[in-house]
Amino acid sequence: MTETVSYPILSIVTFFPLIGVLIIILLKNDRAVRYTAVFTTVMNLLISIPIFTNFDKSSSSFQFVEFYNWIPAINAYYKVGVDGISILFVLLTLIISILCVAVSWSAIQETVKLFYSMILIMETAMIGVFCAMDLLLFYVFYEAMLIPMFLLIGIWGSANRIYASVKFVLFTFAGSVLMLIGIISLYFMAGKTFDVVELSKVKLPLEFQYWLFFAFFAAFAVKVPMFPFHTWLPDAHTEAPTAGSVILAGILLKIGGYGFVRFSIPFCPDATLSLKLFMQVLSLVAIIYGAFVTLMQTDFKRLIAYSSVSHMGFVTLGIFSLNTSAMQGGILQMINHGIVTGALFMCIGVIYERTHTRELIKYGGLGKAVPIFVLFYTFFSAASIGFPGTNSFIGEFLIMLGAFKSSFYIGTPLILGIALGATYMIWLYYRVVLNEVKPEIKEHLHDLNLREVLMFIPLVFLVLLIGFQPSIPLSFIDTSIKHLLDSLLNPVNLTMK
Amino acid sequence: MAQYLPLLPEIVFTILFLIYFVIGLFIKNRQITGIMVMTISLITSFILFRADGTAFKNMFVADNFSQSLKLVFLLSLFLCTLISMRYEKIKDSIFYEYSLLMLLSTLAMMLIVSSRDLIPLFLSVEFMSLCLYLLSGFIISDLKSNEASLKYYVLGSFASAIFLFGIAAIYGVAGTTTFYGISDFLKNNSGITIYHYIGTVAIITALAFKAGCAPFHQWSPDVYEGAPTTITAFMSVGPKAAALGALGRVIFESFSFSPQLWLASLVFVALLTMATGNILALRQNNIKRLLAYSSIAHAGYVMLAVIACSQEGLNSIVFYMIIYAFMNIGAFAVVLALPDGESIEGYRGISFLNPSLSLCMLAFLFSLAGIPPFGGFIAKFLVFKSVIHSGYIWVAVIGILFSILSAYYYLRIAVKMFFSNAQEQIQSKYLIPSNLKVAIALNAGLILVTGVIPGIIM
Repeated sequence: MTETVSYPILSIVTFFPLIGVLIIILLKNDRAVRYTAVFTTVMNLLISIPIFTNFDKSSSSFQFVEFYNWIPAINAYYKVGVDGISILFVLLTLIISILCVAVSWSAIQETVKLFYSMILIMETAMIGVFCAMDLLLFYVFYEAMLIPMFLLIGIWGSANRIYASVKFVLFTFAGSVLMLIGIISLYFMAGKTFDVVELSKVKLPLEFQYWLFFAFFAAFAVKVPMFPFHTWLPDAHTEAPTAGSVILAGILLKIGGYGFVRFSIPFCPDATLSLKLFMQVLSLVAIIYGAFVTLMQTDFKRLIAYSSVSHMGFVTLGIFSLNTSAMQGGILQMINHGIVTGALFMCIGVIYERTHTRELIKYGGLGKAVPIFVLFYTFFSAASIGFPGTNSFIGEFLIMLGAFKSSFYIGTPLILGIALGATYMIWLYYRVVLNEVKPEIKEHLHDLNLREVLMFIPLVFLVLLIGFQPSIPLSFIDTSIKHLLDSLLNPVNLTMK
Repeated sequence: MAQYLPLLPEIVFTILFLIYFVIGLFIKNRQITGIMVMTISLITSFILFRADGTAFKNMFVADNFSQSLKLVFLLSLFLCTLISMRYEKIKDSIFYEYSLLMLLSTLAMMLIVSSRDLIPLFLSVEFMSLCLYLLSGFIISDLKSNEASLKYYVLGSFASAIFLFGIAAIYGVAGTTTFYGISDFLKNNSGITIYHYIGTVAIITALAFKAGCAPFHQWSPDVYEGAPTTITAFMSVGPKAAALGALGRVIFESFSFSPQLWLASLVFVALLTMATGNILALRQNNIKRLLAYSSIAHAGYVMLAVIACSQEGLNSIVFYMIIYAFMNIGAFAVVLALPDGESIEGYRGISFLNPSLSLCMLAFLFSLAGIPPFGGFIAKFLVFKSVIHSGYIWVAVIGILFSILSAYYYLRIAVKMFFSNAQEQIQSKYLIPSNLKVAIALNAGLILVTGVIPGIIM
């Protein structure tokens, strides 16, 4: 191992935003608050660089592990570390957080202090979720996101924000408390430990695995969201302020998929294998049903929100096809979706700031009115469809490859899903960009300013980077996926408990 | 003398109480008497963990469980005195009597959790109840307060009679009233008669009544609404902790060998309590009433730890009640701090007028709902852990489903505070007395600290 970082870098990266919060509390000036937030998030990205440069890609074990006593009485530890899968999500979180601060620069004018404090607390909680190697610690970070998100949607959201925020909290809370019961019973079944590495080595009785799988499923299926549990998502996405939508689409949905990969599959291998088809079918339903519902939408933001249901269906299908290429595609597609849908929500946010409407019927002809905006919007639409050369193409291709490898009957409906995905995005493009400019919005339209251009550039860069050089992100996750699938399909080294 | 050492905290408390009883007569300044009461509770807290052991032929015990619960009572005495120092509903002229009753009921609660025999248990429960009957009707001019007192008194006497009846039945069967005597008897005699059932069910009924568990909860919303707010805060923590602690000890020390006697009825009471508390709280518009129902629900969660019937369960009761004292008294302090704190409309838009107060309230609410990173989560976690460890997963699952409901009514207050616009008429900034500021900040800090590093009080 080439680990050269001698200080607790993961904890520093996790809790650095809280220092920003402390400074923000002391500030009086809104401008200073904004600059502090930008400084904190950018700084956090910079101090995290050693994590990525010193990461050993050939090892499947957790790296940069830190280990302290937390609650000795119940054997819970403060234990953090990253492996090839979580490291990408940490990076994604760091980048998305900067963009959230940037995109809210002029959109948020009231209670600015509270807003940026919440964004920074969210950043801490999200990084914590991806780094936690102790189930209880994971749960604490997982739930700690509820309060900031509740306030983000509820205070700065649009008309129906109260309903959306309460619905979001109740759905997530309902799922996660069931997971909590699962965590506690796992704790006793596996010999009183919350350590993720220890727990993955324990062989649990099959019946218990089923129950545990569904306890975790309750939390993660709500978070992803998978088909029957998706109803909170369109409300929360639509009503949230732009930064809230970007965090939701960019990170929070991924925590569900990440949870499946990190917890459900290693802890319940036998249950996963026998529930494979069930999960695949649910994912297919989400893809196709989600796409049809997306076609029906008349609200710009709600349309993109529903498209997330469909896209996340690809992700869970990839994860639960349980072969290398599908799993690679699933995880890569989570990153891609975070970038692309995050960018699309930012596009909507930017245009909504000018027109103050999300009704598609009032849009049209943006191509003539705001060409620079449309340049970016076209690019991200193409990326969302999965145009060759963009990142989603790689992700969807890998998932399709894996799905066909898994079964012909799983792979075939996927083609319909991809076709529908292209349909709604192109039709949306037609309604928004082409035709004539509607008089209601004409006078409000002005093109992007420098800040807005600057915040889109890194996303364009990431889309193209993953599109042309997929081996860069894949090289991080390959070893971990191989290890995960090995222990799932050839369970030889497991100890009987 | 050494045999009285376990009683040291009680003895010191009583001596200090007597000193206060005399000196307090001559002190007209309310702040000073308040500080004296707080000092008494602090001094007693410091010597609490000095003396372990039993006294009076094992009728009285000072073990870790009782000592920690005594800490809860003393803390809640401290915090409730702190928040009532400038409470206008309690006049300066009666503050002295008010503090005397609070001190006396705290002494009674300390005796309750140390009792290891049904007779001293009964006597101390009565001692506590008498003080509480008086406290709940403390404002003579307030009809609601009078009604609360009378209702509590009539129903409480009834519960006491049932308690005595249960003790008689158990004595008739086992020939003893000490906890270990009963336990030994049940271990050696497997035959179970109707008197066993009558005895245990009557004892459970009486203690569940004192703890405000459904279906014996009807008094509590009325009493909580009618009583002065500081007393409501006091009654929602200490007496509840005392009754549940006593119940936990009786079940664990006397009846753990024959779960068939109490398991069904306790599970029934626990589930019904959680259901009643959480469902009825959904539609309350009076915050005191809402917190009353929520405290019923919390009694239901703690009841799960009683069902667990293990040392782990008893420890989780203690932890839960400590955290509960902080978050509940904190929430009541916010109710006192606002000009219209008792109705939910009074919370409309206060986050714009007073952000730090509303953030503290938000912390209390989320902690009550059991959401990390606040202490309420760890408390709930430990309770559910103990009941799952004893093998009742399905009870835990039903309990946790009810706790989802609780998130909804706590969120309603949060929604009013943060997402509604402030009423135009009360835009002017109101002043919060400094004692309430201290109490709110202290409690909010404590639930955050206990949530992030719970190890310090475990």
